[in-house]
Amino acid sequence: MYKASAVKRTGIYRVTGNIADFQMELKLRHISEWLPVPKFEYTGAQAGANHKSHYPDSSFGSSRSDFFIFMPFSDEYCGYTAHCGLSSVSGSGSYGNGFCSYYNYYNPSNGYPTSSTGTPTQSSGYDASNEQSSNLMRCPMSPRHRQLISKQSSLQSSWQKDGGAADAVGDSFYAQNRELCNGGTANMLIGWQQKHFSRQELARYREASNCVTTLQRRYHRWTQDIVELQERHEMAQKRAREQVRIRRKPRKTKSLKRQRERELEKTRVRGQEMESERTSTPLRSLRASASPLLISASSEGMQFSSLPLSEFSLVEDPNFAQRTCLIHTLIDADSDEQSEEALELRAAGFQVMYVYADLQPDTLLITIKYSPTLGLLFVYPDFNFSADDMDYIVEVEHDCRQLYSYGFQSVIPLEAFDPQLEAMTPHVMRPLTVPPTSAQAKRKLRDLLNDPTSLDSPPTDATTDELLGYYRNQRLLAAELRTLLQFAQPPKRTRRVVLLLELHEAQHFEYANIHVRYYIHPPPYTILEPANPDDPFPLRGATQTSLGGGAHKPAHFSHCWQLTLLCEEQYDPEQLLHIYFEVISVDSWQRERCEGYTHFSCSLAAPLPAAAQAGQRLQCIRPLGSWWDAINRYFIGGRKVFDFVGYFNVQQRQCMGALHTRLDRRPEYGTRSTGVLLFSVKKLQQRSNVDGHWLLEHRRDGLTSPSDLGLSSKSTLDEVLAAYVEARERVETLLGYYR
Amino acid sequence: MAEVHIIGQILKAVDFVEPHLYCKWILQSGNAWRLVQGEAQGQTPVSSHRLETCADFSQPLDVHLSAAAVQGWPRLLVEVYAVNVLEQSWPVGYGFVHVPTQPGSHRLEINTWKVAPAGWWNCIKERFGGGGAALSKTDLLYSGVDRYKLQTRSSGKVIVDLNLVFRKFEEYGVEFN
Repeated sequence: MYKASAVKRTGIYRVTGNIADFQMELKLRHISEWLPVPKFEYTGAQAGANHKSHYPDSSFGSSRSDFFIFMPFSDEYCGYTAHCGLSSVSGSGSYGNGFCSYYNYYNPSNGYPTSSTGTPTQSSGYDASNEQSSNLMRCPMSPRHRQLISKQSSLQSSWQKDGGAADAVGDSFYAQNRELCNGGTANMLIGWQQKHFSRQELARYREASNCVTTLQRRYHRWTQDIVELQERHEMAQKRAREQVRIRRKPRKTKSLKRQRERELEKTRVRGQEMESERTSTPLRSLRASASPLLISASSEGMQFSSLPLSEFSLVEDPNFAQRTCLIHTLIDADSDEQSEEALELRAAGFQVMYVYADLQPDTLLITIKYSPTLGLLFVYPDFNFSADDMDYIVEVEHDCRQLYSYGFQSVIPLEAFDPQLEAMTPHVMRPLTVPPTSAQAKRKLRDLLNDPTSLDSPPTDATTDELLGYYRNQRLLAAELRTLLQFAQPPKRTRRVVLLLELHEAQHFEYANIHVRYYIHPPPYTILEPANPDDPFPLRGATQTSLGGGAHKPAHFSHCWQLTLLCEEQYDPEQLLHIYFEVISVDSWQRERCEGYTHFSCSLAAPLPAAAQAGQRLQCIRPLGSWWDAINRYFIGGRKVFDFVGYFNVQQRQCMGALHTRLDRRPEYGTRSTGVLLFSVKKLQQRSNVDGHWLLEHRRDGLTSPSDLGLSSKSTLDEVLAAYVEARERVETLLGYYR
Repeated sequence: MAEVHIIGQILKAVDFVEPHLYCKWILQSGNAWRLVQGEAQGQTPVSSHRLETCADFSQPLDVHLSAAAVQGWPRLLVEVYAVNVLEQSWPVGYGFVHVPTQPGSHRLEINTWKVAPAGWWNCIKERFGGGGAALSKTDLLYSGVDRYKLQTRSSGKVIVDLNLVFRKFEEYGVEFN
């Protein structure tokens, strides 16, 4: 008896392993189609009342059930293969869920108008093959097979027409999904965040010119497999058609007739062998049921004479769902195409994945969301006990009603999450297990993160268990704080360099009351990441003024600042970061005097010298000037305009033809030593690490060491190959060779 | 997330003019850093030395931080206060230093400075009556292009011993050199 769709509930599972290992097996098949009949043309008996017994649980057939003749679909009813050369659509194994499908047929004598998914030449077909029609009324068959049979007579005379007959039928869906419509079961193994393309996406990404971004180029590369699969299938179909044409060529000579008889004899023997093999091997039988026409083509090849070539498939294709893009997915990477709900879920910290079936229109089959924070997987609808059950029914409304069933199960074992059981467990931290969709819970979590000490203190008269629970909660909160946040990675193809700069002290200058101003010149192809976005001048600064310090007494500055740069790929390690220091003294009349200039440079890629990390004394110099400059400095003060940046930039001076040497006697290049600055710099750099994102999802498993996580410092072969392919694409793009 | 364990002690303050000193310390870091365990700020007891111009604190430090980014590397801010017989206290040294980026044992010398008294009256008051100027906002310690307008005087040094343990930085591609 036919059943309605199973109740759809959301399944919640705790992911104890790696979510990247998650896979599910999905099966989809076509059950039946119900052709509509205009009500005003109905003149028959009240068939609906008679067929109610067939649908005790059916909720969808009430409005149309009285329009059709329903026929039980089962292999046991007749040897349908003997009549029309077609095996059964599916074996009984495919209906292990207890389904008993019914197919409806028109009463040909009524001359009802056919639907677009029906056969345009249906009436003539039935007229020409009344005997077959009478058999069909008793035989199980796929709706598409009915179309084949109905078109046999009309297309018999012109069966040599090429495969555009499907277009003549005008049913694009059938043309694209013949295996599904012929009763085949679409099998698909879908991994977590695995991309399966729809037909529109395939058309979009198969052209390299449409792919600009890295993701699009990656999609383009992946679509090539599907395109190759389609081409291979097309070639196989073409070869099969040609073989049939050769067999059907008329033989005129006696020798040819004898040869033909021998070939037919061989074919029969082969067909018998295959038939016996089919009956003896279950797997083979199952495959044959998925592609029924293959058996008919091989064992009873002459039956093809009554079928249009475009209507059958000679080649068995178990992966037709992948080839035809019947099932496709929408993953986190497709953020542009996701709905607002998906974007909200992602903003709430979920990873989302949708599985669609292109049943025209696109039908959402499964929604899966995963919370890395909670380690929970939400599946709607819930998994079936087995994918073969196919408990869920999809009803697609065209001009006729199509029914599909599907089922899916997780390949890896998942632990069902029971909220009540979790609530009874004392060590679970309530604020962190509340789903983050709750605004109140999110606020509480944020408060906890900002102030870990906000946990209520245990009461003074707390029992031992309460105290233990309190400290256990504190420890778990600390663990959550360790795992909750993501480690910021530098953008792709960049390297983040962080410099910790410290200016400790200055001494031995001519005048006291000094302060130091510094100017930073980063090398080319570096991007500044300012620590304080509100700072209008992140590349320059000044220390405080040290009164009385800098001359005989040291001027303590303890000035620390941090500089973060992103080095792009084009960055040349030989290009250095330059920091220019200018020491200025201010007297009691607020007159500034230049006490010296100095300069520090380092490479962002090479390791720093040990002296620079421990504290390096930078000798300061200032222009010697003439005697008039000395008098002016002593009595009046003030700073003379001096291009100290250009002075220290030797390469620039060389380019300008002013080579600086120590033997240069020109007064404008003469300098004198003044005081020293104690300066230190520490550096740390961060390379882009693809494993960083992956790590967070495994922290909750209690895995702490890289070996536990399956990570090692060594790259796997897949990573190397993926990096090679990506690097090659980038090079091709840069050189303009990319197709 | 990467983790940093900072274990050590604030050893002593040297070269300060004032005899009785205590030190407040704060461990500052960026927004991507979280305190997992330990105290990120504290205060030492008042200490003085009979023979030398130093004050031994031996204040233990044990801080466990977790980091979600390398930006905002932690730094240790110290404020040295002097106490007179009237139990008045005033700041006599500000200083801060970045926590080293190499694991292991380190001895840090933090040069400190104090806000210079504005005018002769404040000088006399500081010398005889005790008390001195203090910063109303601690962000003046490390911000501002026009910081040269802040007039300070050099003060003593604070000696800090640190033992650093870094964890999981290499998993995120962080290299220290």
